Amino acid sequence: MTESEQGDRPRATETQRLGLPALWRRVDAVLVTLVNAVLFLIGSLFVLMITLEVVSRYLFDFSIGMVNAGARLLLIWFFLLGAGSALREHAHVGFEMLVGRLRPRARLITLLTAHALVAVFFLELLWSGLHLLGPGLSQGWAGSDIKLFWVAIALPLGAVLLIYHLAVLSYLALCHPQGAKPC
Amino acid sequence: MLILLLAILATLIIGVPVAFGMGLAGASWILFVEGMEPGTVARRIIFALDSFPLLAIPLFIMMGHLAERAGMLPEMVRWLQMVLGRLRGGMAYLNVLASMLFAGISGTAVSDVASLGRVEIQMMTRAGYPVLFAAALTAASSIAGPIIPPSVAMIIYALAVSQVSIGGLFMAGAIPGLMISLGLLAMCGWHARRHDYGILTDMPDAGSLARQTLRTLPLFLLPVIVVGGIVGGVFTITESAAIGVAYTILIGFFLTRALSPRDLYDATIYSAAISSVVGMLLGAGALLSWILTINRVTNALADGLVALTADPTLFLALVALALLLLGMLMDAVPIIIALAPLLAPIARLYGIDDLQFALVFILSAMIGLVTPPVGIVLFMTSGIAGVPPERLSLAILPFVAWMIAVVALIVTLPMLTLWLPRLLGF
Repeated sequence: MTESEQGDRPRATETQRLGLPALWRRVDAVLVTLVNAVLFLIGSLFVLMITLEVVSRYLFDFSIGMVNAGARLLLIWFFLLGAGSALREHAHVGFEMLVGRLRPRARLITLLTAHALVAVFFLELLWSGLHLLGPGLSQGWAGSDIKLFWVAIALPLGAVLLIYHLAVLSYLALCHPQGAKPC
Repeated sequence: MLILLLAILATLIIGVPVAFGMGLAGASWILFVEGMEPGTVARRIIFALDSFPLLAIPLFIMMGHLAERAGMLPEMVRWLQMVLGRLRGGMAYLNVLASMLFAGISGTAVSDVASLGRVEIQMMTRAGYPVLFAAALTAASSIAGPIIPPSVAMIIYALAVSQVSIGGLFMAGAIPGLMISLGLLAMCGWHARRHDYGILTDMPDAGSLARQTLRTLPLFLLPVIVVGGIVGGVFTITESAAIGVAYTILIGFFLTRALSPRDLYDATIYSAAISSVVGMLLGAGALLSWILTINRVTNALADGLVALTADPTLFLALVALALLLLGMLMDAVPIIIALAPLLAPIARLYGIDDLQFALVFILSAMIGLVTPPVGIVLFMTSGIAGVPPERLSLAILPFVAWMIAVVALIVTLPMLTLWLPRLLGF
């Protein structure tokens, strides 16, 4: 969690982009801006919904029924889309001491092995998430009128973003091994 | 099951983040060893994240970030400086009190050091304190954050372990958090007098003090709204966090006029990155907890521990010791997510109250944040202060010793954690 928590806002993503080929750099900028815009929209929406619910309950004695389910849905999306941003910012908590002490070549091999294992997990998430989409079309989501599909689709989408960001980190580790860090 | 644990350990050693290591082992076990339907993994993860109280985590992170950008924290530090500057040890007291007050806003030790650390260390060194003492105190005082309500760590604990009230946990943490802070204040006073630390400033005139108090008032009201709202039953934890964010935005735009729309954007993106780390840990932790439960590992572990000792106090002491050691190697959040669901039911078998166990657990794991070799707060503070981590590790020892003493006290005296929640009906 060190990297992002020390700074005012995520900056590693912008620095990493400089190490990508020109076209990829442009695609990356568009993708990150788009995802951040969605995250901002989601975050603003749940703050607004919950605040309005409290105001409405106390001032007008009226509870807005959909707030609880809507906010929970948005939270799942917020977490799963945000996980990719956290990966690029090296924000996911890990144990880096041993890897940091290895010689450059051994370090790179260990790093890429770790990336490969992480990729397996992301692929499992994608596979599992896609499997839930079919049943999700006909099943409701607990405590709401929302179809499970709208919750479940965040998982494969989040997994695809995670795979993309991992690919960026792996590319940077291969092309610029001196600055590579564990994800 | 041993293979599962060894697989997690192996991934952690080669630098795989804890959430992904646990997730890989858990998902692979469910899909390929148990041979379950592939959608099971997705269902377990979504089930773990589908929680209204969990919304409080991104909201508290947003609130802490916005309070800093809104200029509320520098106003608080200025006010404390006016009040405490004329006392011997005043800047050291300021450090501890600012962390206590900020704890009511951010609820995390890391945020405390990231937001206030540099200012606190600079103010102390300018006032004539050695940088090592200033850095050690800054790191130690930040540990009060996750103990004094509201606490992100406590929300995570309550979500990881079912049947624990978040409001009850907040109240259970008040006395231990106060004990830690009072102990640190006493140690500061003793150090300042013994070594003649610090340059004393004049008492400000009543007018300036009154003006600064008025400027600081909105910040003091923030923890009152957030914690008071929860304890008074006015809001749920998530609602109080959302109201806190809305209040901070209003203050930042209309009173301090320091916030811009860009700050709102930055705070949301920052909150998404940081809170999704907790989200991924909770999702992966849920996979593991479920595997351990369906394979009856929790029961086997409980039987083994009960055979080892039937004394609840000894069990608590052993858990605290194990967590203190583990806390030196791992961050507190993954420890809470991985181990709390396993150990809390066992503690219940010993007849230990949920709130007492939770506080022993959280505080023991938190102390690891300032303990070498991987204490994240220790390394952050060492970077901010520009002192070697090994020297800081030694300088912080007296403060860590006091915190361990507080753990020992809450292990042996349940009333320290249970009196206040019981009084307030939790």
